[in-house]
This record gives sequence, structure tokens and C-alpha cells, in this order.
Amino acid sequence: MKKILVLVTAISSFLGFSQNLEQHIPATATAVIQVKGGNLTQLVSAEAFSNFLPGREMLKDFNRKRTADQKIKSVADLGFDLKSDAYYFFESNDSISYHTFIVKLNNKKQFESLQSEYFMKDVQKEGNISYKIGWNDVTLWNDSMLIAVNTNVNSEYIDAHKSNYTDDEDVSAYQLKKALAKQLGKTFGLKTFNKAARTITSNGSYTSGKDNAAAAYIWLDNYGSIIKNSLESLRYFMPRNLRKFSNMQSDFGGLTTVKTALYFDTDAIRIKNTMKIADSWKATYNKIYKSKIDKRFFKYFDKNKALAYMSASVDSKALLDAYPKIITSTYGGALPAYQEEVSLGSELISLFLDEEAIGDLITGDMLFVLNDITEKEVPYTTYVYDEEYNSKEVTKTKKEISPEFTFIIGSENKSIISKFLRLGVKHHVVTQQANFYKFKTPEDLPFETYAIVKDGMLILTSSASQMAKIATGLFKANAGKHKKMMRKNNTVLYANPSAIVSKIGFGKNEKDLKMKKYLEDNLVGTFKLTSKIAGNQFITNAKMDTKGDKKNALNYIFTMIDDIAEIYDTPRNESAAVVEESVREEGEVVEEIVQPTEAEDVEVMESTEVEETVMEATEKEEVEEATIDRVKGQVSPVKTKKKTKKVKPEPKAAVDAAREKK
Amino acid sequence: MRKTNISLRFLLLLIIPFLFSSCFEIIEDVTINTNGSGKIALTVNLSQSRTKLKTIMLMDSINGYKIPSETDIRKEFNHTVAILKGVKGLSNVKQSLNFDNFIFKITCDFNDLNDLNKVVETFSEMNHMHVPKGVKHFSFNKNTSTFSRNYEYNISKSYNSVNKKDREAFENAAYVTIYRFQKPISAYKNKKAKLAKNNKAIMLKVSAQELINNTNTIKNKITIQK
Repeated sequence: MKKILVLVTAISSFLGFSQNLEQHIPATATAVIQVKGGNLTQLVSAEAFSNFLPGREMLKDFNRKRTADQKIKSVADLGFDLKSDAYYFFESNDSISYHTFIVKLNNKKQFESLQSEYFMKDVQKEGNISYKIGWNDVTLWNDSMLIAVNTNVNSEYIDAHKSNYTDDEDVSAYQLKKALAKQLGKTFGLKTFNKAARTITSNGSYTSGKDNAAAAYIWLDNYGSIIKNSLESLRYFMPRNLRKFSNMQSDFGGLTTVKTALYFDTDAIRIKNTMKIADSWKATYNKIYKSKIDKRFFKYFDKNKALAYMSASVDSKALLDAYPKIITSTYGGALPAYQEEVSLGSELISLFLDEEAIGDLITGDMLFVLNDITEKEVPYTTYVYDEEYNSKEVTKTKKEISPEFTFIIGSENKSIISKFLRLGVKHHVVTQQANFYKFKTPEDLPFETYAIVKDGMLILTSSASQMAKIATGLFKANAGKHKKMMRKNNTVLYANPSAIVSKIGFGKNEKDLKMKKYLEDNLVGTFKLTSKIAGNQFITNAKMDTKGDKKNALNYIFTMIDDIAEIYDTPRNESAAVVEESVREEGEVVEEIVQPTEAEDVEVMESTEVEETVMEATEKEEVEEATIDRVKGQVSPVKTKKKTKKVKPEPKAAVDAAREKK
Repeated sequence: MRKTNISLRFLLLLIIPFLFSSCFEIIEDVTINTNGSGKIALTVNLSQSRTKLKTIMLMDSINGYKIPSETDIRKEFNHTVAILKGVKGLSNVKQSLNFDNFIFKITCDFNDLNDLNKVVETFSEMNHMHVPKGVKHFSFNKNTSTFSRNYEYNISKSYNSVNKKDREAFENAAYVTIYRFQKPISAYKNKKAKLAKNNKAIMLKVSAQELINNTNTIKNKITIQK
């Protein structure tokens, strides 16, 4: 059963299915995931998927106990209709919750033949529906459909209502729960085979977020209640006297319906997410998020010097005004017994805070820009040795990567920030340089921090030259399209992955270098995540560019997984054959007269320079042979055995076989 | 709330690449007198990773490992020194801890190399390193004037049990041994070792990668002129 669930989930994640299975999802479902098999198989065919690593692994797992002629070669041969949509839905009431998967079968015989003997042993029938009852799950199928139901019975509810289900005193709550899970799961599964009286398609909220072009669609009826349910389901595991604290009446910030659609375009992966705001919260959120980032910020933004950035704009005054409401909603709901106390506490805090003044000090606009990643010389201590190996401590420098950043925080209260900075000067943590300040940073930190208060902003940067330009008004801004993007959204997260990869250090071994080169060659374009409020919705869009030459973004991801696995998944020590250490056990005397030239060869070495003296095994054998001959001739007639052995790297097939065994 | 989470994750993403790249060396400097007594200085030099270490020490844990504070490290060293002081045959036990450069050193005199073996055994037991008992890491045969450095610990096994990300810490690590004698060295076994000009000292540097891949060892057998 576990295998089927895993398989169904895996297949649903990549390849979906297409008859109108939606008709089997009741309108009472509170979460639905639709995987559009038709779209996915158009992007990556079942055959192509079978040849990618995830497909290969899936088939390998399936074929493990099968003879050569029984082996499945493609995920298309598993009996599922991969071109159809697949669904997951969640439905619950106060005593039980069901996680249900529905997929379409196109070859029932094939599907059955692929199941283990153990699984097929106790398969029962009801009409044309076969079903297998597992631990707390039931798998049911007919000629065209497979339904898997995972049932969770609320233990607390059963404890409290045990008498409704059984009169037998000897039946424990645990036994009852297990029996109920099986029985109700089966009933629910059988019911799902029939079309629902009222289907989810009658729910406008569900259908409005659907998009035929999407590869997958997630719909959650109420974000707050799902979080609430998950938290409540943990109550049973809490000590009894703490359970009352988890009696959630919180509305979780008023966020309700969530709709997320995932797209694989020719050259990008996109996610579109909307979160509905409850009416009672709409005005509050709109006040907080109505703000737009101050235009003056763009005077200090150069798109050509931005590997990544994050901008945010909220109205800090409105946020502080709403603070009591947020706290009461979040914590008052979580601790219903103390609702009044929490409410009073947050009102009191609000009384002491001057929202207006704070709003002036921190306007709520901020922009963090990673301008560059550079190398900086940092000192370290090491030892040098004279020709008699007496050591001397010396200071050397090494290059370390250091971030160059600019952090701008909106502030209309120049005098208070200036006062803070001057106080820093007084206490020697800040030094004033012309009209800007330099923070005293520990010498080991690979960057320095400069600050200036200008144009209603506190600007911090790690680059002295950047600060000089900002302070003298010589900074050349170039915001381009980013200005519009930041102004139109409350939050923007932007990154240029290939540029970042080219700047950061990877390990120095061959694989890491290969990986770096691979990423530099294959990461293209940018990553953008924007979010804004529009009416009663939070709208978040994410887009990651992918390489167009890989047909489409899904193909790009699978190709990348394969390529990266190939870089790292070669057997360890393949190139470095293991050779025997050059020193033998006690009692085996092999000596060599020191050649005077060796002493002359010794140079003053720097202790941190690790010598690259890994010899090929064969080379080493020859050296040892020569030494032994010479020794025999000159010093000792003791017979020596040479035990150099070469350990061949395990062939990949053997490694795979060993893994399989495990 | 959402914004805070995003910005935190973003900052973490920026910081993480700077944390992984590491360099350290361990230097074992032993002076052996003709009668088998001598002194040892064990230095752990993490100076090349000091920037990273200073950053790490600001955190509570990284990669699931608890980060010891300066106080924890000092305590551990004091404990070590206390143990060493209790070992019969050892004297003049000293420690030097430099948290600015991250260089830690312990020195002591010994009457006999066997005393050092006892120390290795004690610490192996303390750190659960499962070094076989009775192994003579250091020995000096007065009759043949031969000094032996043995090494019995399967480092590659431990290395393989460490997760891939953490293995990077060993990428540029090295173990250096220096042995000094009162008389010139007449022969030595490990060909990767190098003699000092006066022939009275010998140095061997082995990278952690060589130890892990078994392509080199710190084992050596050194014969001194009688």
C-alpha cells in the first residue's frame, strides 16, 4: 500500500491524468490539488521521463523483484492513464479526516500484475470494485479509476464518544480507532467512486483559480482553518494541562482562500499565488500595504551593480496602529481564556508607542542590494621553518570573498539618527569621515560598514567608494525597469543566479569545479518574486528563467537533475587508487642510507602549502621496489616482502547492486 | 510576518556561502633526547579560518552541531591540561590559547615516549575514537636508536560517516610532524618526509585528503646515528 501511495504521489507530481475525475470530488472538500497530466506529458513524455533520473529510480524500485522479461521499461506501462488529470483532496469533520488520491487507470490488469503478492493476497471485491485494506488506508480500483484513501480518526473524539460506537468494554480506544479508520476509509472510498452529488466544480472559488495552461493547481478553502486543524491535530500529543492552549480560535491574520498555479513555460518556471483576505481584515491590510517605496531610493540603485536585491514597502504607522488587532487575533485566539488580558496588553503597548513618531523614524521602506561579491585580503598567522626546522610565527594574507552591499532604510527623522551616529562617535564605535560615518568593525570581518543619513534615508554600505559617491552626489543611478517593479509591489525579491554562482567560491575539488562550471553555463536569466495587495487579495508571483534550449522548463529541471547527479554520483576514490602506506609493521626492517642530496633539497617550507604529492599507485610501486633493492645491497640482507596492493575502484554496476541489496 | 520570513531567508542565503571553506593545520613537534626523554608541542592552527570561525562562534549551532563558546573551549583545555598534569612521567605542562588568531597549543616534557602513548590512549577513550589499546604511537628503541611513529586510526571511516557538506572542512587541512634529535638521522622510512639541513630534524606534512585517501601517512621510522 505504501508503495502505491508513494507511486501515486510521485506520478501525480510529475505526470497526471485526464478524465473528468473532478466529478468525484465533493463540494465539501477543503483542499484540492490538481495535477494536469495532459500538460505535463506534453512537456516531458512518459518515455522521456522514464529515462530521467527520477523516472529511472522509480522504475528501478518497481523492477527490483522482477525477472528480465517482466521488467517495466516506461512509466507509461504502469497501468495509469498519464495523460489524464490526477487529484488529491482533503475532507474532514470533527471526528475523522480523509486524504484522498484519485487517478485514472488505463490498464487494470497491468496495474494488478505490478503489485506484490502480499498486496494482492487479501484483495476484496464489491461489485466491480477491488479494494485492499491497509493499516489506516484503503486502496480501491475498478477498470478505469484508482482511489487511495488515507484516514485519520480524531483520537480525542473517539475517547469522548466511545459509547456511540461500541458497548464492548474490552475494546480499547486504539483498537476502535484502527477499526474505524479501516471501515470508514472503505466506505468513503466506495462513495467516491460515484460522482458526488454536489461536486467541487460548483464552488466558484475553486474554479476561478483554475487555469488550463497550468501544470498543477492547489486550492485551499481556508488557510487559517487548515493551520488551525493541523495544530489541533497535535493536541492529542500534548500534555493534558497544556491542551487548552491549543484550542485555536485564531483567524491567522485573516488569510482565507489560497490558490496557487504552477507553470512550466518554454523558458521559465512560474508560480502564481493569491491569498484572500477576510473582509474584517481588508481595511487594515490595505492601510498597511498601500504604501509605495519612496522614489528617492532609486537615486542610489544601479541595476548593473545588483546581483540580488530585496525591497519592501509597508506603512509602518498603519502597521503599528493595527498592532493590537494583530496580536489579539494571533495570540488572543490561541489563548482564548486570556483574550481580554492579551487585548488589554496590546492596547497598553499601543498607548505608550507614538505611532506617528516611529513611522517617521522608520517609514517602512527598505531596500537591500547585494552589489557584488569580491575578494578581500585578510590576515592569518602561520609558521615558516628555517633549514633546521625551527619555526617562526609569521602573518600572511589570504583572499576571502566579501559581500559588497547597500542597505537603505527610509527615515524622515534625520536628527534622531544623526544623534545616534554622533553618540557612536563619542563612544568610539563610529568614526566620522567627511559627511558620512564609518562603523568600527572587527578586523576579521571581510567587510566594513559606512553610513550616511540623506534624502530621508539611512544608507549603509560596505563599499567605501560607493559611500564616497553617495556622499558627494556622484552616484550614477540606473534603476531601469526595476523602479516600476519595486513601485508596483510591496515586496520584490530579485536575484541573478548565474552571476552569483560565478562570484562565489565552490570547493576546490574536481567535482565542485565541474559543478560551478555547469551552473554558470546552465543558470540563465533571473529569479523574481513579487508580492502586492490588490483589493482583498495578496498576489504573489514568482518567476525563474530557464534555458530555452532545453525545450521547456520541466525538461530543463529533469535534465539538470540528471547532469548534477552525474557530476556527483560517481563512485568515490575512482581516480585515487589506494596504495599501501610506505611503512611496514614492527619487526620488518627496511632501511635506507640517507642521501646527502636530500638534505640539500630541503627548502624553507611554508607550513600551509599542502604539497601535491599523491602518486599514481604504479609509480609508487616502482619507487618502493628501487628503494628495497638498494637497501638489500647496501645495508641488510633481511628479506623483505612487498605488499603494495592496488584497490580498484568498485565498478558502478557493483555499487548499484550493493545499493539495491540494501 | 511574511516579509520578515522572506528577508530572513534571503539574508541566510547570502551568508551561507561565506561560511563554507576551511583550512587548518595540526603541528606535532617532538624533541627526543638520546635517553628517550624529551618534549612535545602540539599546535592546532585555525588561523586561516579565523574569519569564518569568528562568525560561527556568534551562532548557537551550525549544521546541527552545537558551537562551543570561548568559555567552553577554555574549560575543555583546562580539563585536558589537568589530566595531562596527572599523568606520571609528564611535567611542565603548559597551554596557550589564542582566540584572536585561533591558535591553540599544548606543550609538555616527558620522561619516556611511553608516557605519550598513555596520553593518546586516554584521549582516544575520552573521545570514543576506538583506537586499539596497547598501540604504541611513539616508541624509541635505545638499542637500535630507532624512533617510530605509528598511527592506528581509521580516519577514512570517520570521514565517510560525516555528511558531505561537513567534509569540506577537511579539504585544506594538514597534519605536520617534526621530530628533533640530538644526533644526526641516518635513515628514515617515509619517503615523503624531509630532512633538515643539519640532519637532526625531520619534517613530514600530510594533507587530510592524503590521510583519508590512504595515499600518505604520518607513520615513520627514523634511525639515529649511535
